[in-house]
Amino acid sequence: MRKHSLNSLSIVVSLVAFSGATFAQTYGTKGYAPGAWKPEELPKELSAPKPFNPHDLSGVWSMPTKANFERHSLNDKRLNIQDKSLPGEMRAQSFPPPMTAWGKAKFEATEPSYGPRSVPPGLGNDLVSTCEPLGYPRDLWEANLRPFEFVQVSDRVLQHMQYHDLWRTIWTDGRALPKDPDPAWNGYSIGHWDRDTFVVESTGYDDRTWLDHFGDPHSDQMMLVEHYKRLDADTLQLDMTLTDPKTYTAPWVADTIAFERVKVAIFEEICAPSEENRFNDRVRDAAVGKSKP
Amino acid sequence: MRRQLPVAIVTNLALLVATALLLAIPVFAHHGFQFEFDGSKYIYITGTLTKVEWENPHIYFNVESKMSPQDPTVSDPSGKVTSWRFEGSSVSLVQRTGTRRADLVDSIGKTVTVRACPGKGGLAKGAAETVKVSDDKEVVVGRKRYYGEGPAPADLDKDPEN
Repeated sequence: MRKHSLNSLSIVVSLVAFSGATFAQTYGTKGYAPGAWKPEELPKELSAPKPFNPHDLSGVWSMPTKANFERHSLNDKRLNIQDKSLPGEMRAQSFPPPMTAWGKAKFEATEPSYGPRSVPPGLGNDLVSTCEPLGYPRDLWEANLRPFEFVQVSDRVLQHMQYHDLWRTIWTDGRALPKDPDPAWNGYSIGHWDRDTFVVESTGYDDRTWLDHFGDPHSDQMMLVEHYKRLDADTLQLDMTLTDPKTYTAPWVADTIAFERVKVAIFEEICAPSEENRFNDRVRDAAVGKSKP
Repeated sequence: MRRQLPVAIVTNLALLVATALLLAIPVFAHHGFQFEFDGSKYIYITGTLTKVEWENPHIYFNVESKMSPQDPTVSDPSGKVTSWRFEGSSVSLVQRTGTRRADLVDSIGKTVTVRACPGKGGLAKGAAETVKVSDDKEVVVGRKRYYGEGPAPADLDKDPEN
């Protein structure tokens, strides 16, 4: 009887404690939506498509959502969890290489709202809740909802992310990476063409940012090497390798991404602190009983 | 009787613990959708649009309606009008669907019908997906929220899903 009662208790507690369900995961980035301009205000004739040029990265690129899974890290995956009541945010995680003692301490200090270590955002310390810069590469993962564009000029390639309106400058004028740079939110990047692959090397990243919403850390010694290759007119492939010996004992090789060219414009998406704070007061903090001082 | 007492106590204890946990359910993700809203069902609230807050990370708007927060499928028996609060997606994600701020602001004072997943606990709020602003115009205001099983509304396919 006692055993039965305890089982009943645990079932009730489990049902209540995890009485959530998964989010709907996808949202459209296909198709053209004018935003500020009404259709009748736009040019009637669109410019003729250019012939495919593998050395032309320009365009707006989105990360397709596959099987309702939005990717948010170098190699995150949906976990095979049978318990349907477990919150959707806990159903995926990243798989970084083994961490150093320094990296592990930094990782354990993060309190994310995604992955197995999820805490309510009102109790966590993800800087996304206060409009702090996401940094790179974390901002790139937003491309499943918010596309980015490449703009090529004579001595640079500019990577423009919609989320936080981030502009990353990739120098292509032959300069080397800076030897001992001051940390920067978006690091320092150089690029060159290796046949049909655009190779980007970057370093000097400010270590206050996380690599992803799972709280994976990095140091100011992080080096990223990215290989961008246009497979065809509408597909841009990215292979990325992260090396950070202060944080990880081995390089972190990302799963290949195939970005899809989309016929949409980059929209403004500024994180305004006044709006975000209002949301924190009303939702995030209110949900955990934090009252505004 | 003596053998039933512990069962009753344990049952009550279970309910107490369950209630305590319900009040303390962690709010995951950025916005705590699962804490606030029930994604397994839809409600359709018709009323007067009174307020629009077009801002990030979510847009909000209010609708005054006679629909009962306790049972949104019927009007309040006393005819009471309640101000319902609806949350949409972020500005750019709503814009991406072709919906403009003016679509909502120009409808302030007019009768609209909102399709949303209801707030939990009988609160007059919802996570909105669409707003029907006139007989021939319905605008998208949020990501798909519904995750319920079984037949979905016939117009679900209109949502901007990839």
